[in-house]
Amino acid sequence: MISVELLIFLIFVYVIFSNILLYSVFNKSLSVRDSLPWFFFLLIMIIVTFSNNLLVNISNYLGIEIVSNMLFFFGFLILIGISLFTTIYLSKQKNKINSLAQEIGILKKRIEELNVKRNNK
Amino acid sequence: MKALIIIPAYNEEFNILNTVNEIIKIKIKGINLDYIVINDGSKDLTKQVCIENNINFIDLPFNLGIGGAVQTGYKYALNNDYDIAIQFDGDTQHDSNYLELLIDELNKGNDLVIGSRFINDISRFKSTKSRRLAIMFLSLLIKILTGKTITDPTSGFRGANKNIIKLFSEYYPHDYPESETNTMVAKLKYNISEIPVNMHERKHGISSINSFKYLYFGIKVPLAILFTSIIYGGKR
Repeated sequence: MISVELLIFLIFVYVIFSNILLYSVFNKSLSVRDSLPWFFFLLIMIIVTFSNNLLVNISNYLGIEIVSNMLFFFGFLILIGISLFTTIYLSKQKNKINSLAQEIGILKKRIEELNVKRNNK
Repeated sequence: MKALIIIPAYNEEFNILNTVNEIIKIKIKGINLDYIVINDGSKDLTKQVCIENNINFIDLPFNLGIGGAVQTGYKYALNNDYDIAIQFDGDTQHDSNYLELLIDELNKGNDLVIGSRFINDISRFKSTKSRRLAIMFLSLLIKILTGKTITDPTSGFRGANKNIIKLFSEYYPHDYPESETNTMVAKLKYNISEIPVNMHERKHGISSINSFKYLYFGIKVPLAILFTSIIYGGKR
């Protein structure tokens, strides 16, 4: 069982974390869709905190001797995963922004052509 | 028949006017030849030079890189129903005297025609030794993967008919796009042809490939050719 001091500290961290998430969603700076993995992450952290020996049981089951090693391993995997999906997302956004810039360039040209035509009439 | 010359320009304030002046001199029978300069977010006075000299140009809001700039030209060609689009560098490297030959070759039923420095030894300027080696390697890779011989796969002097204009408007890579798109066109079983052309050294400024980018070029382009060949392997 974790100490009361650590429990209070963790609850404090979760409250701040969830507040940042909720504020960003309400503020519309983070879409509900993009916030879901982070709410899921928060939920898992809360379950792990309040469940007795869950981590120990899992690490025993997987044959990992030290619990902290398992945490580092899964933490690393999750961060790599998030990083990969962020790269994919960024790449898609880059393509969309490029297309928009091209369209803006072509439309600016079209507007100038129409202006010249109108002035010549 | 309407043909459009696409001239991508990034920081070409000293070259762009010469390039355009060379092009407007060219008259080809039966061809309505237009040009469009794509100012790719230049930080120098390219835009001002275009405005002051009444050059026909599209002004991109920021720098997209060579691929994004050239694709803008293809989209413009598609929107305005051009029969032919020709890529022509804004840095005076390409020789406008070969435009007619390029268009003739397209009119023979080819979908994509590439101006090559390495056929018949016409071109005095053939790039550096290391770059020539890289080009030979890419050429060999394309030959193995598509069965098509392209002697100058990185040439930016290319002519495309309506099929290819549509294809390139839909997809065009951001950087070092020529080898990848040549592979795509070959894999889709379009007709590709090459003509011998002369190319010059740049008059002003530095080439877009510097020594720091060689490593990236060496890894990205062969990988892109390989992936393109897999992606477009069974299509069409």
